[in-house]
Amino acid sequence: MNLWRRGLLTQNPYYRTPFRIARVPREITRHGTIVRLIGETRKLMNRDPLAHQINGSPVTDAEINAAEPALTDPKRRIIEELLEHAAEELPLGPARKLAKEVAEATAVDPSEKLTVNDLSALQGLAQSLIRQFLEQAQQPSPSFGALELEIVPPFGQGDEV
Amino acid sequence: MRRDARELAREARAVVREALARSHAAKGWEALQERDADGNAQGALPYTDAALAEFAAAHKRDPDDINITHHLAIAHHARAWDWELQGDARAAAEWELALGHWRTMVAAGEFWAGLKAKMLVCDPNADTKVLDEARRDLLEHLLELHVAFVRHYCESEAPDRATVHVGIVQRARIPPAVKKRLVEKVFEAMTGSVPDAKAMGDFDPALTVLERFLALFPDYLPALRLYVEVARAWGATLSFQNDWPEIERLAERINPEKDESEDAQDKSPVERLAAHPDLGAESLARSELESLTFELAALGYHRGGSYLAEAQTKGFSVADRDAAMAAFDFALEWGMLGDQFSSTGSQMKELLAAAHQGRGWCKYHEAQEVLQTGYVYQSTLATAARLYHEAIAEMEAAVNLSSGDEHLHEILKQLRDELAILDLRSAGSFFAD
Repeated sequence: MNLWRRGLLTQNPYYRTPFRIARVPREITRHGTIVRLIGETRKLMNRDPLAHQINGSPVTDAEINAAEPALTDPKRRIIEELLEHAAEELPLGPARKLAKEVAEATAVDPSEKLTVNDLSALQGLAQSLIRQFLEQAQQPSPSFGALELEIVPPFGQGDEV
Repeated sequence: MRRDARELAREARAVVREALARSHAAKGWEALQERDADGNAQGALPYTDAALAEFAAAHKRDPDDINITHHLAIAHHARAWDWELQGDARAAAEWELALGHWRTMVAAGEFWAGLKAKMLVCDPNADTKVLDEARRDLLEHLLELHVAFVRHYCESEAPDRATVHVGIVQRARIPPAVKKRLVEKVFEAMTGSVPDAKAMGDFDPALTVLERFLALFPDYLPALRLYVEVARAWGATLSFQNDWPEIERLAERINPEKDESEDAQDKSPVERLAAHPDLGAESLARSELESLTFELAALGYHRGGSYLAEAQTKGFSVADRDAAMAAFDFALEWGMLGDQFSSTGSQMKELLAAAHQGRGWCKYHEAQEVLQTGYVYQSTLATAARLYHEAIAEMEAAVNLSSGDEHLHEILKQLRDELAILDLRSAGSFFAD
């Protein structure tokens, strides 16, 4: 059978395909699901004959009656796929997989938490800060003697412990 | 096992590239969706301009992606169909663009393998032969659509639009056997009305239809045969007495005289049929051609003969003699064309002999007129002698063609005798002068 010569020449066959008429996605292959979806479409049309339209024209009972065997017979259905666009979606699967892998690679193991055992590297910085502090501190008046009787915390606290 | 950062980065690049490429397809799919007033998708339309742009971008990025090609095949074909129905001149190019994508689909084994796999998912016991057949016939089925448009436009008297679709079929890159089948279908589509028109006596439009087809397929033997058949049927309805101008128009139409400016390669349908390499095996076509040429030759002969018959009673005016000569020439032209296909001793040869004889009598009558001028000068006698010679040459040609006609031999002998007397008179006149 010639798919392109089934109807009138004045009717573009790409609009009212069995998939579109029955509202069955091309990706659905299970017979039971196809039958269920066709049933739902029939119900929708029974509730409101204008509810299911294609390109501004309502789908008729005759159309859905013709679409049902075309979709439930695997031989016919697979040929119908030639006239039907396949659904496309963004290919996020590989990106998600990769993101997961990267996350796993960069995750910090709680058992490998960073611990600091040697603070000697900070000694230079500490001395520099002390010097800066002392230089900026208020100078004592020679008439009254030293301003402070003890070192301002935190310096010196360690000595007290 | 964990991969190092460089490997992960490389894969990330590939994933992003793939996502970018496929995102065009996804956007294309989104652009196909027909939506209700609330913006909810209701299903895919076969094409939208936006979707086509996205699919084209995806195809540019990855020309080998057969799924994208399938989107393009559907979308362009659907748009071509709409444009065709709207009378949009862009349809022709769009059809051919779509056919190119469908041709790629036919060649793409992975696409058909995918469909087979899906079919087996639908029914593990399914016979996938149906897909092999669909793949094999796909291009022919698509081109049959153009044959249908040819028929449609021929029936609706839009020959220019039919020609566009014939061109699509002609240019299609398909196996010769498929093209031959399609040309047969185009022939049936374009000339389906001809037998009825012929039966109704509508010969002019019937020939016009065939000429239109032959302009596209000049050497298509069935069309040439039908053309000759219609012309013969037309000729058979015409009378040499009442319809001579129409006979001449018909003859000029089916086998026009060429002037020097015309290309000698540009042959008429009759010439093309006569020179057709397959004519030998086509007895029907050969027979039609012989019948047509005989029909026309006979009309010419009878017209010339009628002038000669009238000359017996009311004399032979110069105009009548010229008309008779033209008619005999007409008979000879068509008779000689048809003689190529006639057997020895056929009616055609007898007709040719009779036409030569007719011309011979015209020359004889002209010679008599010259001699009857009353004043017999040397130059007059020379003119008469020349005409006698021409008449004798025609009669000799008639004798050679006829199957032993004794009467012709007698006429020839009489003419030769008269010429001998004329030569004697001429000699006497010479001495008298």
